[in-house]
Amino acid sequence: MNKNKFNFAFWRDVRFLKWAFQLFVLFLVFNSLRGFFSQAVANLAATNLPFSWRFLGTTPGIQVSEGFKTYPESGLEAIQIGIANMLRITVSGIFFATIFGTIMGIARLSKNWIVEKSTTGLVEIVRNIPLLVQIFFWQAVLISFPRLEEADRGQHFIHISAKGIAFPWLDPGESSWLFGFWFILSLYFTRKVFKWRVSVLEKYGREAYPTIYSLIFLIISNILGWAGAYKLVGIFGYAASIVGNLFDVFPRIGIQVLFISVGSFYAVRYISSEVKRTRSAENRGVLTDDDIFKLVITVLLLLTLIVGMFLPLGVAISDFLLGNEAFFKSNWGLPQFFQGIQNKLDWNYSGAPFSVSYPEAIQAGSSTFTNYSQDVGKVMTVGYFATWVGVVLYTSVFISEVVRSGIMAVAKGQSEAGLSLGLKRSTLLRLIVLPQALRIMLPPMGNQYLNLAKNTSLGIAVAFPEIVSVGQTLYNQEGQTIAVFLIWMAFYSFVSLTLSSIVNFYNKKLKIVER
Amino acid sequence: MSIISAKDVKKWYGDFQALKGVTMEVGEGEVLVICGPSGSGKSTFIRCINRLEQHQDGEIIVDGIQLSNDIKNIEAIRSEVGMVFQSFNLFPHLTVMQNITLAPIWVRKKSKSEAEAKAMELLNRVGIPEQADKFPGQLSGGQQQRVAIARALAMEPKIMLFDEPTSALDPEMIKEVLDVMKELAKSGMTMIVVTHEMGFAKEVADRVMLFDDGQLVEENTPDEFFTNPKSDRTKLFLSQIL
Repeated sequence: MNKNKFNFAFWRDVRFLKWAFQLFVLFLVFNSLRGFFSQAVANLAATNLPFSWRFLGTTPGIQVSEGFKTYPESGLEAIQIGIANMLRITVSGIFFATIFGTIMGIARLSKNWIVEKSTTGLVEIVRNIPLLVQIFFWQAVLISFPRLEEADRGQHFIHISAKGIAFPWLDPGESSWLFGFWFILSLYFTRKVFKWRVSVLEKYGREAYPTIYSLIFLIISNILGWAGAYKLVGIFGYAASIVGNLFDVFPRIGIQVLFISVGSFYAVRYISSEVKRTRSAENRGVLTDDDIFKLVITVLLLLTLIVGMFLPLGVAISDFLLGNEAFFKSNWGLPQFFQGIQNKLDWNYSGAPFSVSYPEAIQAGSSTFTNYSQDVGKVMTVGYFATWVGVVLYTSVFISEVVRSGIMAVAKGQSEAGLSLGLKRSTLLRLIVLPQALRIMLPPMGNQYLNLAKNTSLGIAVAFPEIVSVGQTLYNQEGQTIAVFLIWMAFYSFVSLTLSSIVNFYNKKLKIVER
Repeated sequence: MSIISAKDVKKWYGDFQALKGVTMEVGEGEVLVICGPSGSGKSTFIRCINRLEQHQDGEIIVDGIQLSNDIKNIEAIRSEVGMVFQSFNLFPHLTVMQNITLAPIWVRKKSKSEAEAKAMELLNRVGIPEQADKFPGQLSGGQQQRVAIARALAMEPKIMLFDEPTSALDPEMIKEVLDVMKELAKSGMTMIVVTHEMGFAKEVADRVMLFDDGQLVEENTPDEFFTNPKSDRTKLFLSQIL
């Protein structure tokens, strides 16, 4: 009787359909990936170019026009140069695009007619022209300057030519890393000082001058640092050397066990949180099909990890982390990493962290051409200039729109309420408007940062050797197209995921509690 | 002894004249209710008193200070005049406690503990001490408006302005806000209330005013206003809302 009540065919059962569909999609994804990959491997084998990572270890015989090395000794090093160049533009680009964008965004809200209209004009022009065209434009601007001639040889302060823009630069001394680390620490503690003075103000209700106190702290601590207090940072280098030495006694099985236990820890934590969630009041201990699917996948992933750590790939990764050079020829590994830190932060170093050097035009090698010296000053090459100005300007106009909309989205009533309480305009902006505007601005701002990072790949159009350009040169040389594409994908995913997780972290922190 | 005096106050929005010469006085401790149809300039007028809107002609003197473009002058008047808005305008990113203590700490330079003690006292007065650590988004409309009143009172103002404080509330919540306002009126606070709550006007107002088309049409005691109005405009207004 009771059974008959719900008697229907199993293929009409929602639960069955859900499972069947999940498995079907999984099958499709798996099969198409397998198909693509085997096809690609077969094609490469047919052209006598079997898939291999070997090029990462061999000397590629290419020249990279810009970066920390001109002639990379291995494919990996060439990639590293590309990554370093890409990050140079991305990091400074994000910094300047944020500043310019914020200024332009506020300028567009200005009541001053000329400021508002001219900014609006700039924004409309820049955002309606493709970025690639703009990059070509900035390249054309710089190469239309006079060529470097013999008459230009000698020292300069700032010099612009078709070769680029040369300007004075800080040359690092052996203690520059120590001082740099000191500087970052001083910034951290300056923030602490600011917060401490604000808490004094709130607690005792007297003027506590947070800005003045923190500025004085920043200046004094860095004067002390420059004078030699940076040697204190050497303690971090010493700690790094201790950690690095630990790896000498670490066997491979140690790394494998470490990976497996970390993986199991997260898997168990995830499963227990899922179980706890389903046991909560509103779920009444019922596992939905989705829950079971998630748990099954988690267990499968954990099993893959455990088995994988003992397969060649896992062994190679372990050896790589131990610096055993089994994976490919490399001096990268955790011991080397910690050794590197120790080399940079040695308290025996002394002398001024930085000294100023001025650019100089010299005879280039044995040729008759004139070029800027690589050793003194700094040259912003045409490629770097065009890419940098292009992405910074392009991103700043979008950021300006984000800033403008963020401020405009804070209800007018918020300012009115603040003003009616007698708050000063600056206090109102800092405590009421900006915290709310930032919350609105953050997610679209993150998108703009991601765009900037990805748009640097257009540097290839003006011969700026970032990772895409270097990668292309490499696969033209070695034929390992798939391997290079995998590196690109992994690298850009890594950068994007890092950026978006930073943005998400702040987004969560700023979230407003609703009912 | 009048604490607010307005003389021939005029205000334009472009071509539209919102205030066509309003002259009035409010005595210390007086409760004044302003009513009138929407667009009659009543909100504009009380927003001129703490300079959220700028009048273009005439003069307004609040507590002996004439409103001018002097920023110090404006900030001084604003810290003496509390305001409660139709849409509450609580700061959504701050807790109830932080909403109330913000201005005493940053404007009056009180210590945090002093400001918090005062805030708890005010929350008790408006009847929601248990909500101190919640965020505005977690409160009902009536509770939010009571927090807004406490926030304004925390500055220990001499005058309170209410700009349609109950218009955005559910009928059930109107009473809880009006009760707080009645208690405030009885404690001797100088209040100007723009509202359509005629029951409130009858019960606590010392005077009732009717605005229409940017002008002060009628000014009367509540009894006279409701039973024996002087102008025909008032009769028409009353016949439509009562």
